[in-house]
Amino acid sequence: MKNILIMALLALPLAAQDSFDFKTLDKLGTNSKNHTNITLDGDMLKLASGFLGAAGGKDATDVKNLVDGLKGIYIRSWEFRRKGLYNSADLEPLRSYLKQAKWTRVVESKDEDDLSEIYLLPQSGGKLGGVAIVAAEATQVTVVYINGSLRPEDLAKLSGNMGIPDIGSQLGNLKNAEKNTEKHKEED
Amino acid sequence: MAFEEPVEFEKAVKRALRQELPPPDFAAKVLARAAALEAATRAPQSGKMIVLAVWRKPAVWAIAAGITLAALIPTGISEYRHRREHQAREASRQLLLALDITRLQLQKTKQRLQKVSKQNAL
Repeated sequence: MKNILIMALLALPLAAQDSFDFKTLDKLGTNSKNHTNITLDGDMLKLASGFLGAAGGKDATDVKNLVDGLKGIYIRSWEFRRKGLYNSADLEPLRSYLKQAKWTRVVESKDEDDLSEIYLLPQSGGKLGGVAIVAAEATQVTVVYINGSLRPEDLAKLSGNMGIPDIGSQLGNLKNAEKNTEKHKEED
Repeated sequence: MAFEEPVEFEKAVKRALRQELPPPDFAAKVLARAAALEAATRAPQSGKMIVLAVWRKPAVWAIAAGITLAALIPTGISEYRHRREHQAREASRQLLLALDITRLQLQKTKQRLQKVSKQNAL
């Protein structure tokens, strides 16, 4: 019993590390002129994937396949009027979370004032358990955090190498789906 | 003339005080009238009692509840479906925007890497 309690106590910090608290990045947006905040947890992803699946089309199927293994997508992006309006030290909570042993930084690209980092969370069977992108530019900071199982090919698709997913046509499909839904409602 | 007036008065008083017997069917008429009045006042009460008795029956309550549910359930389902559709549409928009931002960031990183590798090659 005592051992179980000790193990449970030891497991608590590990469980806490499973998800990142995005509120710790709130300071970054203090002086921003625009911000984008997207939080899609498992339920919302299922809902979105089902809706896109109903819209039909190859791209919709690709998006659905990509999203099916995911637990969450979190995006935080801030735009600033000019240089020096944010403190890059405010990204430290995320960096220290990603510096945990299980995350691997695969890309670090610095060009003048711009810094991009890509972190991957390797999983067994050649799969990924997550992807994180930290892009700190002179007047924009973007954090992308994808939690869940995805294949390296999905990452290639996401980067647009294979032209998939085509967001523009997806938005078109979405509009068609909305029109169809409205038509059905009128018929009802 | 002055002597005749008291006589007339006396006669009038006697007439007024004379015992007059009721007609033989008077009691029957009074009883009948009383019964009719009672029946008239009881009639609405008995109707109310019938209404109360109906509402006290569980079957009537069950039917009323059934009718209310039958009217409410389709409205509730339709409202729920409409709300879920709205949520799904909003979630899809956010998902596509999230994928678009991710793609843009990956492409920017790739371009930066290409630029750096070109500079290194030179």
